[in-house]
Amino acid sequence: MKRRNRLGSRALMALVFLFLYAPIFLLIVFSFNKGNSNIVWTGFSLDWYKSLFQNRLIMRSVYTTLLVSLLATAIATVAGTFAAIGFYSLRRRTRTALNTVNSIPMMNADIVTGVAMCLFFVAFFTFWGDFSVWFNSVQRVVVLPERLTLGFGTLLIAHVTFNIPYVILSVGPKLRQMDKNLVDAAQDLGCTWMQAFWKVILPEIKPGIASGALTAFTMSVDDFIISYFTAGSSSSTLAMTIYGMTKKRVTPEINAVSTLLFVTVLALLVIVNLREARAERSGEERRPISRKLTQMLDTPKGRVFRRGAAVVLTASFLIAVVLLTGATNAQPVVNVCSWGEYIDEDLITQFEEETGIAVNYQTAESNEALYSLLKSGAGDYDVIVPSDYMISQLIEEDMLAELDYSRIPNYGLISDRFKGLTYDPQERYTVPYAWGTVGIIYNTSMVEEPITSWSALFDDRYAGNVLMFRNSRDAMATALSYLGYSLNTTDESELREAFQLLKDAKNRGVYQSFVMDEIFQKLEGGNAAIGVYYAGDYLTMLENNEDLAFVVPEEGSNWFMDAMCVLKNAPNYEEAMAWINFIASTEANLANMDYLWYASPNQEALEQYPAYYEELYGEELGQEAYDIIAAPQEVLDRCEAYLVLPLETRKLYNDLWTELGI
Amino acid sequence: MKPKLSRFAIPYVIWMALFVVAPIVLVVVYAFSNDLGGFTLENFSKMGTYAVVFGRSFKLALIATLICLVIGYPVSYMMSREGERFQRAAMVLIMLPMWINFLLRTYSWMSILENNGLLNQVFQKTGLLSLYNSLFGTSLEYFPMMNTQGAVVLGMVYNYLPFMILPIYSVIVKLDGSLVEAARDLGADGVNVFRRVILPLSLPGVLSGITMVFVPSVSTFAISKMLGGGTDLLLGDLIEQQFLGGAYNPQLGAAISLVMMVIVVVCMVVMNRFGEGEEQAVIL
Repeated sequence: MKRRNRLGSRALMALVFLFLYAPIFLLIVFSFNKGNSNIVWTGFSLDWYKSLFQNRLIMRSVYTTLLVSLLATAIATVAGTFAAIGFYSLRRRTRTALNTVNSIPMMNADIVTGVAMCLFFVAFFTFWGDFSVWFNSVQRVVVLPERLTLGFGTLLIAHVTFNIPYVILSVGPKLRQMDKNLVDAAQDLGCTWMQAFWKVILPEIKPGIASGALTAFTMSVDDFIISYFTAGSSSSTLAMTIYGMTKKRVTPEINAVSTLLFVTVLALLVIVNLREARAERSGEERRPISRKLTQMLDTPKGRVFRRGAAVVLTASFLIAVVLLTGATNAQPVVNVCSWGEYIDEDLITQFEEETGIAVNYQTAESNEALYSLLKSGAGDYDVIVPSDYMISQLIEEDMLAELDYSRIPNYGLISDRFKGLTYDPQERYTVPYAWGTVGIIYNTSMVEEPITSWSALFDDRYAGNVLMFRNSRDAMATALSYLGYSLNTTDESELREAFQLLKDAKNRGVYQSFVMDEIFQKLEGGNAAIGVYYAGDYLTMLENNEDLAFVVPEEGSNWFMDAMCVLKNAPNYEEAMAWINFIASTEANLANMDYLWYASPNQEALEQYPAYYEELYGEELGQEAYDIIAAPQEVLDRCEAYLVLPLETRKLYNDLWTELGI
Repeated sequence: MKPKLSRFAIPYVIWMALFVVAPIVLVVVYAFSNDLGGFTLENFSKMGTYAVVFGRSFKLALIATLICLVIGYPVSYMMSREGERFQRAAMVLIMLPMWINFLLRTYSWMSILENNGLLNQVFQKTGLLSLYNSLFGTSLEYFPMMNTQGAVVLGMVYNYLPFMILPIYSVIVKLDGSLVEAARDLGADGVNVFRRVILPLSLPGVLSGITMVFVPSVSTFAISKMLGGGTDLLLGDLIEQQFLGGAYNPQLGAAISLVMMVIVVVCMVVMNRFGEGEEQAVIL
């Protein structure tokens, strides 16, 4: 009876572990996959591990993650332990009140904590800006920096803040289990409180400290949301890099780095556990090394040593911090925010090697998301690559800096037909990056007839198989275009009609999901029949699924231009100019065009691309493919560019968009 | 001269005031202001529109929490019955998944659950799908699992189950064994021992487990975006949309966060009435 029970309980536990580990196992297995799929196994290889170590974006984010987690854990463990001791010796009422405040970061939703801290930091920076300007004007002795930004410092503060409660929560109960009289007895026997701490309290609460530190470290490594709001533009953790990728396609390099991390931690934990188990078996005789150390430190000689050690430790910590911040300050950097998979990453490496300027490359999901990042202060980039209508809006709100075109000689290579467009008629703020059209991408094996009209996106026949845009402007545009209205209409009834079309289709279950870059995975894997996206991306998908077809609907569509701009007060203006000039070169445009399959605005690149392609791949680039990349005039004639909408219409868009999701 | 240990608390109290309390005060201020900085209640008057979102989020989070409890409690209980080495290994195994970022683990679920994903391929190859079709007269090519509320709940359970197991386990394992013996000596049978001794004593762990699963579930946005398809918003999505998403309106976002915070706090206070005040459960 008992035995069967035991078997049953083990079976249940095994099931739970299977559930917990199945996805991880999958991830580890596919890190050794030859191909880049997460589903189809094409053979064993270590290629992803090799390319991992060459991928500076990932390596840098791993470094940031480990650094911030280690520092935050160290600080939080020390601070949390002392705080717990302090709390413990407070009166009960005060303690309960403080404990409640202490549990706020744990009880509060991560997103609220993240947002709150972001608001706080930005408000503080504004205040600091005013203060330091005043302070620097009244005296000359100390010059305060006038501009603070989100970055590693704020990230660290945030991590320390949400880590400390976990330490307190693990140490607190250990303190309460401890005999209260012990401390008093020690002090009565002549211990200073420092000695009482080292000799009496610390040994008692050590298990609590250890588990608190472990929890804190784990939370730090796993955190995404709070980091997302507090890291700013100059540092990104592994989680943030992954988030940027989950939207498109997680490269197997991420699988590889996670496997490495996982195996390292597993090995560490196994070693620690084995040692503990062995120590237990051999009895109390073998004291842990830390106990020996405390004992040694209590001799008179040790006391001197201890003081010395404290000084050395503090000093080395300070030096480390200074070196770290110094190291990041010494090298010139440029902070770039673009779209996911919107650059040939070799260009970043090439630029860094040529100029010695480090590139912090981050991505936003859509123009609207970029705008939110800029407005909230969470993104203080140098270079951004928004689309036409968003550029107009940013100029309108005085958020862009004028470019110094004398530093961007490659601007001359831009085709004349892409200069002085409506968003920047006087050519003061922008250098075009890439352009393209929006159209329907569909799987020919999953639809009955070739698709030519937007009607497919509202058609019940494809219920559950349609992917719609997850951004208001593009989603509304499909409906507006289908109804025959202008994409830039400000007429409320027209907009409401378009909204109703979308809403009805959603309620009838036409849409499988609202997507941005996730569309790659879904269409390539044959998980959906129809999607609407950008022309260049279709060609990328075609590489992985030959059944896909693309059409710019007969009703018309949107054609867009994305252009590089520099934000007002960008801290790295010089570097930004260098970056823009580098990207505007014909070579970079060719590389990007080949990687993105979005059309280049660079006249030479546009003309040379078919030859470049043939040389690179040994086969001809068909006219059809070229026309999808760079839409011919007759297609462009039925397309319309987005213009910036008046504030009132933008508010309506926001309201309608939120309503669509309800 | 006995220096007071309580002064150790001072630095952290200052830290909390700066980085915990002040930011939250700021959220409250934002919630009551318009985009020009003036006072307004407009953000809250809109709240009725979002009742559906609130309802949906709380429903899904509640289901996920219940499932976690139903799985987590027995597992914690059984774990505590095992030998010490087994317990230690099991603890490590439960903590370990957190070392792979949750986004990645959730992403991995995507490739398992997709229409053309691993699970559906297994169903097709083993003939389960055709069996199902012939049994029920349907003609499914796959089981639609992705982009459903079920998938979102699965994602929540998967990601937050350890947060239920760890606190419950840490309380049960510290239970005084002599209490159980005493109960048995006094004639209680197995069911009664569990119901009248073990269960009430493990309540603090259960409560803290519920909190630690429910709060992140109700506010998640990554999971619903990845597994739920993003067509039906959850609270986290709604908030994220106001701050960093497509509909920039931080005042409204702050107001929604505030309402959510208040509801959660009220739930917790009511729930904690059932538990003991002082004795907080620990994660480890």
